[in-house]
Amino acid sequence: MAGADVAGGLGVTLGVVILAHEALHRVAQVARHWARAGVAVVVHVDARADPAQVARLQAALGRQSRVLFAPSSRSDWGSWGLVAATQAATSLMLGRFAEVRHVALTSGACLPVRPVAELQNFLRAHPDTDFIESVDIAQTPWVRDGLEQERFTLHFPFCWRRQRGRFDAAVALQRRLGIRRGIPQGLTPHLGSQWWCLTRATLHAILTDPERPGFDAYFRGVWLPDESYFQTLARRHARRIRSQSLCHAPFDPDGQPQVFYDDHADDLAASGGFWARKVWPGADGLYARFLGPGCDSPARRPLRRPAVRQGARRSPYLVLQGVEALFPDLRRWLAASGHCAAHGRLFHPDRAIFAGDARGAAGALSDHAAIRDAAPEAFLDALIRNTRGETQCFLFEPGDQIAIADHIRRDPAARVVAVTGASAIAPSLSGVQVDRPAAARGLAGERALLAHWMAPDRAARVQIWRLGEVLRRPGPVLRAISDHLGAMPPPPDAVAAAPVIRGLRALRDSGLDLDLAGDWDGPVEHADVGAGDVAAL
Amino acid sequence: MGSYRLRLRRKSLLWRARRKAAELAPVANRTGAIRPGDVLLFATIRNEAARLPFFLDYYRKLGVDHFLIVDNDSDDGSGGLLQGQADVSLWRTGASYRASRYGVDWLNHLRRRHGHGHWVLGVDADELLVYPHCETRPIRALTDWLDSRGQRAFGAILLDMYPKGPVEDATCAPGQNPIEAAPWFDSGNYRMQRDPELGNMWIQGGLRSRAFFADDPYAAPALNKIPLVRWDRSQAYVSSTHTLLPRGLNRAGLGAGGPSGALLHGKFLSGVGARVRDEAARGEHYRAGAEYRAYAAALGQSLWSPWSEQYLNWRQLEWLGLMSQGGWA
Repeated sequence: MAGADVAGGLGVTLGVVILAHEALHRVAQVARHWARAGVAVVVHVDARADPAQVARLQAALGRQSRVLFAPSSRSDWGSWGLVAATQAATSLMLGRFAEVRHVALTSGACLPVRPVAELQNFLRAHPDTDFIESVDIAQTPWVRDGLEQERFTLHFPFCWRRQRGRFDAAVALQRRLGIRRGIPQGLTPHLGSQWWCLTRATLHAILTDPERPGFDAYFRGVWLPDESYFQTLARRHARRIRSQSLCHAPFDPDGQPQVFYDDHADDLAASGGFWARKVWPGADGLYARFLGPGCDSPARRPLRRPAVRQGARRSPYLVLQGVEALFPDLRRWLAASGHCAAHGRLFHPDRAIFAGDARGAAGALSDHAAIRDAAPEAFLDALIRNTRGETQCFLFEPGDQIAIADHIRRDPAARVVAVTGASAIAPSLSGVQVDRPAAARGLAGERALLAHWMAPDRAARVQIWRLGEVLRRPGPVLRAISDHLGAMPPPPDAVAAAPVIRGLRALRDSGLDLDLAGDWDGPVEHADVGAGDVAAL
Repeated sequence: MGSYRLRLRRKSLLWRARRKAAELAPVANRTGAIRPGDVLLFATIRNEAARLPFFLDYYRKLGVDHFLIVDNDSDDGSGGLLQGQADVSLWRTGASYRASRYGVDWLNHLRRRHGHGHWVLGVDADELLVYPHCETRPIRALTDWLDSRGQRAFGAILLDMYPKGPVEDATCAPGQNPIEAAPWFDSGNYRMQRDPELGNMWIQGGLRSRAFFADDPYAAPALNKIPLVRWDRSQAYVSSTHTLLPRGLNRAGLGAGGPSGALLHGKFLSGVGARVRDEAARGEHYRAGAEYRAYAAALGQSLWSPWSEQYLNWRQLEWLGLMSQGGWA
């Protein structure tokens, strides 16, 4: 049969039903396009459409012999009226166009995006196939928002769009009372896209089914019958179903139909669908391209543009406490790696100390303490966001703006590497005397900071060493840092352990509690290997 | 209780607007040409003859159908220029800008009178709106989409644009795009929080915070704007286009996860010095020109920094996290 049709040339083999609500000038344009290509068209206009627009539509299509109007009726979104309108329109189609072999259901916001001849040839090659997305809900979760099975077994007296509260209450009440409607014998509920293309045989069987009055009565009470009536009944009558829509009608992440504009032209041409929904009525460019001259030549198929999506995940960053006291060249080492920015104390009370001692940073962040402290979290988040692709490292020492520590601890992107006890010796590193008041202040600050790092709502990765461990083996703490950064240049030298230990002893003997420094005063020969151990890294 | 207080406040704003309406003298009232569904732009201007040609052109290209403009005593030919435009309705007033709460009362009145049922845009002559897909989609595409999602307001961040050299060297000829003369902006130094009373996002930061308010960051100007709203005669802007009542509009406008835009603020160009002196002397601007006095001190220098970003397009702003296309793909 297909062969005969192709040989015979231009028989009217395809019928298109258009369910129109608004923007009727576009409906006229699309109907003319179908009709010009030898397609039979039946237009159903919603009873609430603007009368002036309806009159213009009828005038525009009046002389087209292949275009008919179905009697107008109410066809609200998701209502039985939409199914009734489809039944009326398709009956008219089958009755008046005897040659039609396939009928496609479209909306007034649909636009053919491939040459009509391609669709006709495709359908001639599949004369017995019904193209209707039709999913068995008992087996596959199809919709996201529940009511998969229940839309067939509950009553829905209220409109979901306009009476949401009552709708939900009615559902809840029926669930509690265990109310269930029976599904008629001979039906297996199926769901799918409204935009199908059925064979004459299947459509005829559905419309003339002896059980139809009972089925119709049942589906009047089903929620969103336009997604299930034909989808379920096609399963009862079809010989061969391909559960796929010929219409490109994607949904956005909110579950709403995506709207197409002029800048989607290439996407639509590459979509593979024969027609697309839903097109913004103002998209002059799309209508011109797909309905205008030249639209009948097979489209070039550009490569699909990959969707640009912002990763919600933030890049990790490194917070270093007490490390620079032990490795004076720390920042030079980090910077030399080439894959991170090595800042100083970003939260120093006087000003933000950016890498290279710059007065600003990416995104035009200011080093001004007042601006930073007006919203320290926004400051840190902005820095991380502004430098996507480059890991940020910064020093954070006792005395810095501690308010940010809670934010860092709760941030899964933060990596904290801390050496406790280090602030006891930091002031003495220049080789001068031990500064007992400074050490006491530093240790008190560390204690406060430690409480922040270790609080139970921690999402950051926090690694803590005690000074004693690092003095004995400096390797692991550097390795912990480089684990977050990748390949690193040769490690920096640690300070000589002996003077540090001498200083610590002096502090301890003066009565300062050095528990934060851990076990540092082992047998002298152990303490003295500190610096040399770095080579083993 | 709180909502009743806000209701009273809204009523008093509307009442004020009606009272201030007496200050407006119609110069060219072409509002009869407004058709249902038209997108309307409302603005108060003063001596903007140099900016207006590009401004009108820019918004016409986006698809604005009618401009409703209050001329606050211009003496540079702005009035004549506007009067000659077929799609502009013009009112003139010599009354105090400050006493009209920086034009808000005048425009609230005009919006109530002519904006009901329309999407209305509220921008200054030095503000250019950028929204997702604005190079390829007219503003009606956006408002239709917002309608389909039941969203009644569209928010934007105010981005201060500036030249690389000294501000007074950056000249912008009439009809020229001010963003060509001042293409730089601060891309990532903003902070925001939600205002508990009116529900709006409060955004501060950017150039003015960095260059003029470093020592008093909380005094820096607010950068949150809700420039595009589906108008109902019961609505009123509270201050500038920052906040509205009823307050649900503020929440919908910014920070609700939907699409948002940016207003490119082409203020810092040659001539701003004279304007600043004039405003500071008249004390007619926000906080009696304190902001303007702060600028005057700093305008001799370049505002540019090595971390400044050069403007390309809306996708750049989205990538930087300054605006969002939300679910509008």
